Parts: sequence; C-alpha cells; structure tokens
Amino acid sequence: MSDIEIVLLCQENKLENFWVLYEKYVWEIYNFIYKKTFDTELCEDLCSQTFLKALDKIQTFKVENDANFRAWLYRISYNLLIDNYKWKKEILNINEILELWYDNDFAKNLDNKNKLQEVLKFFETLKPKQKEILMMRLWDDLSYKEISQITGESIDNCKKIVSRTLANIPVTYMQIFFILLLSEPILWKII
Amino acid sequence: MKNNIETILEELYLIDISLKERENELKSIILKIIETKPDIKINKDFKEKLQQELLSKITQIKVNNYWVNKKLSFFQIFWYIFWTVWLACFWFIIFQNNFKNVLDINPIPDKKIEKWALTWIPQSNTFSVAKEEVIWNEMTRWAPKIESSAMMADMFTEYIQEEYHFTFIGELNIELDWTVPTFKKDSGENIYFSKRNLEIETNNKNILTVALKWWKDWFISMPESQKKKIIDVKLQNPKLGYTNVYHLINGQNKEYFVPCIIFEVIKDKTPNNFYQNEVIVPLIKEIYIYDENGSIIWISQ
Repeated sequence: MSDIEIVLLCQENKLENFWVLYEKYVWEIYNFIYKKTFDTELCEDLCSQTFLKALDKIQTFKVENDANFRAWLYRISYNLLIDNYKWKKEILNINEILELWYDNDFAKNLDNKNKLQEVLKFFETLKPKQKEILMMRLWDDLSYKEISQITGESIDNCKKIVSRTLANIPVTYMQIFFILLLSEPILWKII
Repeated sequence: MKNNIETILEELYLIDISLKERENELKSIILKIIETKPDIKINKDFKEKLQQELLSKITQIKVNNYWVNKKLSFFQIFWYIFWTVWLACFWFIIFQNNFKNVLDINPIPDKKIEKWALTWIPQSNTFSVAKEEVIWNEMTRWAPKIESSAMMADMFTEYIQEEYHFTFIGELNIELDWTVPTFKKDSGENIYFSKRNLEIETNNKNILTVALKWWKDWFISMPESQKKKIIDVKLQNPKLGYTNVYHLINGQNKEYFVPCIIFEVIKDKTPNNFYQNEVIVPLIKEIYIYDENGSIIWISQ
C-alpha cells in the first residue's frame, strides 16, 4: 500500500493506519532532526511534535498527482526546526560527533575517522544553505523535488547549489591545504 | 550505494556538463560523504512513548470526529429518518397484506352469543349456511329425475358447467383452545335455544378444505358437460362468527346456532355472476366429515 493510499484511509477517519507511516518514517525524521540539533532531548521533542502535528493535520494533506507524504513530513519537521531557534550553530569537534553520531565500530576505525574529518572540514567551508541541501541530497537521500518542497527553494536552485558546491570541492581543498601549510612553521621548514 | 552515486553524478552532469571532466574527484568526495552518513540510533523508550501519545491522540480524534459528524450531518440525520419511516411504512404494508388474514380469536362471552341467537338469527334468512343448505337439498332432490331422462341428460350436456376454483389468500391460523358453546333450537314456534357443547373443528386444513371445496357438493349429481367455465374466486380476511345450521338427521331437521369462520369473497377479483359475498364454514364436526381425498361428505341422512 502506497503512502497516499494510507493517507486516504486516515482521511476517512481510519487513523489506525497512521501506524504504518509512523513506523516507516520515525527513524528518518529522528535522524534528520538530530543532525541539525545534536541534542537528544530537543530532537525527541521535535520528532514528537512532527508526528503529532502530522496526525492533527492529515485531513489537510492534499492528495494530488505529485503529492508526497514523505516530503510533507520533512517539511513539518523543517518548519519546527526553524521555529525552534535552539539549533546548535557551532559544529562539534570530531570526537563529540563520533560519540554522538556513530557506534563504536565506526569510531574505532581509523580510516572512517579520517574520512569523517575530511568531510567535516569540507562542511565547515560551506554556507548553511549549501550544507543543508547537500546533506538532504546525500545523507537523507531526498530528491531535488522533495528538497524543494521542504525548503521552499526552487528545484533548479537546489540543483545549482549542489552542483556548485561539489564543483568547488577541489579548489576548497587546495585552499585549506595552503592555509594549513602557511600556518604551520614546521611544514615550512620541511618544504 | 554505487547506483546512488551514479544517479547523483548523472543529475550533476545534466546541470553542468563540464563537471564530467572531473568525475573521479567528484566521485571520491561524494563517496566519502555518503560513507560517513551518521547512523543515529533512535531511543526505544522514546519511540514507545511517542507511540502511546499518538494512540491517545488517535482515540481522541476518532471520538471527536464521530461527534462532529453527528452534529454537523443534519442532512444525514434527515436522510436516516426519511429511510427509517419509509421502511417502517413498507414493512407495515407488507405486514398488513401478509398477516391481516391471521385470525385473532378471543373467547366471546356466552351471554353475548345467547343474545345474538335470540335476536339476530330469526331475521338472518339470507345470510348463513342455512340458505346454502336448502339449495343443496333441493338440488339433490332434482338430480335423480335429471339422470332418468335421456333427453334431459342430452339437453344438460349442452349447458355450460361452471367450475369454481376457490383460492384463499393469506394464512389461516386459528387456535380454538377454548370451549365454544353452540345452541340448539328446541321447539318450532317459540324460538328458544338451549346451550349445548358440540365437538368443534379446530383443524385449519379441514376448515380450509370446506371453504374451498364446499361448492362441489352442489353438482354431485349433475351430468358432466363438455363445456366448462372456470370461475376463480378469491377468499380473504377470515373472521369468527356464529351462524344457524339446519341439519337433517333421520328426516328430522335440527337447527343449531354454531360458531363459524366467515371468509370474505374478494369481489374485485371475482366474476360478477358469483353472487355470494361470503363463504361460511360451520365449525362443528357433527354435520360433515372428510374423506381420504379431502372431499367433504355431508352427514344429513
């Protein structure tokens, strides 16, 4: 049964079918919020609010040709995140992130640690909007259309942001390298 | 994951084809980002707690929706009432048609019957089995004469013999579990009835047999005619009543005032030449019995 079929049942007051949608998306939404808040308590609060609001407003969900329940659910949590200004602005250090985000097996692997460090450094160079859209596309596996529905940006704009961000990667890395090089006297000596 | 990277790259090339020249670099960084996708574990307690919250919310919404619908759907309520009334009328009509012929018999007080016997019976010359009895007796007297004459017999083969097909519409369900008194006339000039208990016919099948086949005895001695006319007579609405019956036994005519069932003839479904308005079946066993074929044998000798 598709999401839309389940939504239609819910709109006929057969709300017990909402469980299927809850089981399907609770982890995704939790993940989506957590990556932006780094706070378990806040994440749980916003996740609860997302599903309670979705249940409350499910009658208003317009079942049209391009209707997408998943994007609608993300949009609710995204709006809640915007409303709640407790987002942690600072990027945590790698140890904190390893502790909060990953299990022990991942954290113990040195290769993973290096990869993560590299990715986080890359993220540091990005503007919030760029980082947000890139994370949605690569980590949350959302399509450009879904990202557009969630963020309110046009599809073309979302595509341009992702392409330009990725197109600038090598240059950005080179910049970082030179900055590191210039800031480390020992490396100067080696060169 | 490979498919995912390929899809992402294809999307990027559609936006900017020049990115294809740097495919390896792009692939590498996209792969790294995807590989480091956080695997955040959801707290089970939180999930269960949220489930409980949603469950209570669902229950609350369902209850609210039920009452909201009840309150708002005035048209629906009107529609329900309309159908209920319509169905009630429909079943009432069906009930009337099917069950109005079921007899509801209540014991009639003896005094009331006695009063009827003394006041009503003497004037009831044209109403009751009595008249039919007389006609029947006349016909049986004529029958031997007709049979003895060949000419008359030939003449009678030309007449159109009427056959009656009696049908009863409805259901006869008489339960006479009470003692029905009958009254016997003792002397000629002064009408005087004395109470006497006779055996009452209570078998519904027998009563109906009499109602539907009584006419056959009229023609028992008539010669068979080639030409026959079938007259359909429909009976309905049986009622309990009393009638007087003349009963010939050993040449003596005895008169009884006995309980009977009066079947109404449905006039608009019966040919005009059928004159009777009712068919009356006296409910005493002394005057007739039934043979094995269900035919009536009148005990009059």
